[in-house]
Amino acid sequence: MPYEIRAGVRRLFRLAIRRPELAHAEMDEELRSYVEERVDYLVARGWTPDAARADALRRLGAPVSQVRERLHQSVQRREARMDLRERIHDVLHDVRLVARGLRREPIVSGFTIVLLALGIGANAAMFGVADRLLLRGPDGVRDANRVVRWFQTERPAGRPEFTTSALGYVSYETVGRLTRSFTALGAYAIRDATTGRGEEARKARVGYTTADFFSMLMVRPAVGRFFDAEDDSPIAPRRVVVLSYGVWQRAFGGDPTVLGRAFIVGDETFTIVGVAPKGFNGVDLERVDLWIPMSITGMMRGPQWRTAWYVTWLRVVGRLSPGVTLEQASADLTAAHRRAYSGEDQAVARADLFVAPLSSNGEGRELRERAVARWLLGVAAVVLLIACANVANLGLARALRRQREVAVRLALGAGRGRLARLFLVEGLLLSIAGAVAGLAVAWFIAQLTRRVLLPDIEWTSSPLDVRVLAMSALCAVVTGLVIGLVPLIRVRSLTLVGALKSGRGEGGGRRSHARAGLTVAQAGLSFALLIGAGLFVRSLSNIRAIDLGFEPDRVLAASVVWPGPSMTTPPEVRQREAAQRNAFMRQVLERVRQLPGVEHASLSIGVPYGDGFGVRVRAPGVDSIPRLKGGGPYIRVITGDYFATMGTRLVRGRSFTDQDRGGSERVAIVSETMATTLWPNDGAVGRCLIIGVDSMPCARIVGVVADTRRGQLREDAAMQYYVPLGQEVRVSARPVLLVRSAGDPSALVGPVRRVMLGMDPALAYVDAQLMREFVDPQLRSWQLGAAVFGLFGMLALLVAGSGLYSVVAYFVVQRTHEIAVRVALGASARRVAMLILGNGVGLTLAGLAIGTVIALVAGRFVEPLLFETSARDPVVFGVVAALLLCAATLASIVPTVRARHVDVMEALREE
Amino acid sequence: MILKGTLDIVVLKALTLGPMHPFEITCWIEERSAGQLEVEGGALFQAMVRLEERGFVTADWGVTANNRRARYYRLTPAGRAYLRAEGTQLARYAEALTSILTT
Repeated sequence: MPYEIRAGVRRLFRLAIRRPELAHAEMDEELRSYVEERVDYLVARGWTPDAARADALRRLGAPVSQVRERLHQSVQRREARMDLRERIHDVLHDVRLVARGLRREPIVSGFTIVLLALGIGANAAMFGVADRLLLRGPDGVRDANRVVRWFQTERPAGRPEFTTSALGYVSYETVGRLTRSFTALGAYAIRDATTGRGEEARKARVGYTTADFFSMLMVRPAVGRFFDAEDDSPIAPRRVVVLSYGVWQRAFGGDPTVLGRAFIVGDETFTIVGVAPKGFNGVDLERVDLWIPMSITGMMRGPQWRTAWYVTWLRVVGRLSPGVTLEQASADLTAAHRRAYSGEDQAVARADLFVAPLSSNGEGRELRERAVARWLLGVAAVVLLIACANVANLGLARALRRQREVAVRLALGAGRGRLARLFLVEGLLLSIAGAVAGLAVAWFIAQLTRRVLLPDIEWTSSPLDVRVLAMSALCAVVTGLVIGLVPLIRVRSLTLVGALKSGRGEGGGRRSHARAGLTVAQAGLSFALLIGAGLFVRSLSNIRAIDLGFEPDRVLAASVVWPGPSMTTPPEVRQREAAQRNAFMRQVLERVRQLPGVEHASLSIGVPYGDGFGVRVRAPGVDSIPRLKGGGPYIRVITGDYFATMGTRLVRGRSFTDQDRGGSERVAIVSETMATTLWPNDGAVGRCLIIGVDSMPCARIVGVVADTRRGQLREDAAMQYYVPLGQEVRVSARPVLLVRSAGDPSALVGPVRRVMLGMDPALAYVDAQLMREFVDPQLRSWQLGAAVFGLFGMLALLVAGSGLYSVVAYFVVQRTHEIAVRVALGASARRVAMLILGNGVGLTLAGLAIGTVIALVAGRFVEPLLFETSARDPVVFGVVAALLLCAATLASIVPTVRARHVDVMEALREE
Repeated sequence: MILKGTLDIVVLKALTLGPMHPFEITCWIEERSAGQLEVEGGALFQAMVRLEERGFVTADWGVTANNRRARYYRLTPAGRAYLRAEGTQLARYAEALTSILTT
């Protein structure tokens, strides 16, 4: 019978066998032993030793070296395969063990998984958002980080400098020819247009591009082709259109025979020549439905649209040549511009041009959404940290509960390595379960963010696409490792005797410090997050409180699209058509005024957040009308009810009435700024303005109204004035119908449209929009910040609060003996309560201190994103601190109440 | 010569008698087959490696009757099951062959 080698030694050998040389050595020894045994056997039967050996070697196989070599290889393979199998077995065994342990404590495990789901899910969702805004370039564009936009910074004399991305075709062509920093250029402009007719008309966003736009972006069509130079010929452009993938699916059901079919855009018919790939929207993130050659729309800007430097309306983008930096390209571009510029505007001649990445906003700086997205990532990471800290706390608690079990295992020979593996498996199992549950959380948060907070961006991938899933998995693994390792640190210093000796009465020591430290950290981070939320909420309320000069909430703006004038229409005909349109709109106004739910209605040429107009104007008695920072003076042509409809305050004098029309005395109303700028001493009422042409009679000023915003939340001051509809000169745009509703303005969209179409079914399209939709997008980034910081801050507070609760509860359990002693010695219930509450509140205060430091430091970086709010706003700090202390008190109250029920005698006895 | 594939079964059968080291296995086979089957050393060891890899046997170092270190191989439950299934099949096949070839 062979002797059994002891278990420990066997394991040692197993460990050793892991390396191939040792496996080879083992096999050699086996072979040797085999040979020797045979030799003994033969010798025992009378053979001579030499003959025996020879025979033994022969029986081994010949040649021996080859046999040995092949056996070595076989053994190596065997070791590798068995090794792997054994490892998998061990891991599966551990998983089963751990799962059983977790099932025994379903509440704690469930809670942990929920925490992790929140943390990992939040991160996955925010990663998806940040991925779209920060990491991925626009879909379909190859090497988007090498594609840049052109910007022009002008420094007009006497006025502040401004940067614009709106350039002229002549820039693109002439300057583009002279630069050497780009491998290709392209120009584009995005405009709204209507497709279809009458009731089936739809609004669409059209991208007008040069032919080289698509080749510069290196994008390939899904079906058919993009334009070529002949399509975009400046003399005779072809009416061709490329559909977006979305339009192709929606309007044609993805029919591959769509090429060559007719498609109505505006009032012209185009031929479909191609379909863009899925998700392609050019170089912006907003949706584009159709692509049309630039020359089609260029022609509408006058015969000199390709040569005049003042016809600026398109954006230029280019692909940098390899190795060229932004600075080099900018310098090159500026030099080229100086050489090419042939206009008369000195400010433009002296302008600097520069290039900036695609993700820049209109002034060449980073989009605010991108900056906010970066913060969102950070915030989500912080939430995950807090969740981890909490889970680690729970893990520590569990490790402490199982101290004795663990110590006994160690004494019985379980390696520390094995224990480490168990803890890690536990951590990973929990975090993987959390990640899977977190997918639901991620989906929900992502949908919220996309639909409500960032609706303008076209989200081309699902909220749970491959990249997000990969990020989730990564988070799960990292989190699992972290929360698995924390209890490990405790285990390292565990001895059997120490563990067996420890009783309930043990308090303090390094153990509590770890848990207390984690709790303080959680409180601090939650505090910082909530401060962020508070700052954004403050910004948001500051913005909402801005006086726009009008109240957009219940206002609807409807405009009618007629087939447009062509360049060849003589001016008398155009004027007649304008008069007809105005008469039509007056009729519409009368009808709409009678609709139920309409409080006020009026017409206006020139609307806030819409088109603005300026004509020549002079004020007798005033030498020259100064040009304010915001430009102007801007004119609006209105009917009587305009100020009531828009909710603009009348400061002095009167508004227009129905008596003020074409043919009656010429009157005007000015804005406050205009009144104080031109007539600071006497007031404007009674003065007059000569508007349009010098030969016009002076229009008497009958009233002064409050200033209104023209298109931004924060603008430079400008002068505005109003004339009645019918008295306008040199303004021939279509009037817009403005309606103030008693209730929800969107309920009036249908009725208004029906009125208009009812009166003229041949209309191309009726465009009805809520004024709110113009203003709201500008609030977006603050709304985003407030919502996300707020949501995550609340999450963090919940998590930290529950963490605090568990720590305080544990504190009570730990000190049961001490509490019992105090009570026995006569301490009142209140003092005991104070002791416990004090513990909880004390931890929170420490957290507040740390959180304040974090908030102050990080505040410097958040400040640019805020709106008229200091990052050190004391009100916000105060409110959040109070909130946190309330939560802490609440969390500590339950254990405190429990402590009152401690049975003194029993607690004293138990030790 | 032993036919490929059958050596494994034979070895497993040998081990039903208890743990053995390779030479013992060789002896047993040669005795039981009355010298008809001669086991080549290299082939036997390859078989042992195979069997261990597939989990049909486990091995541990022990000491032989001659006081020499040798690896003792032992049948596992999986090996026993495999032997039961394949062994009877092989025996039946051999019987059939015998009746065909010895007419």
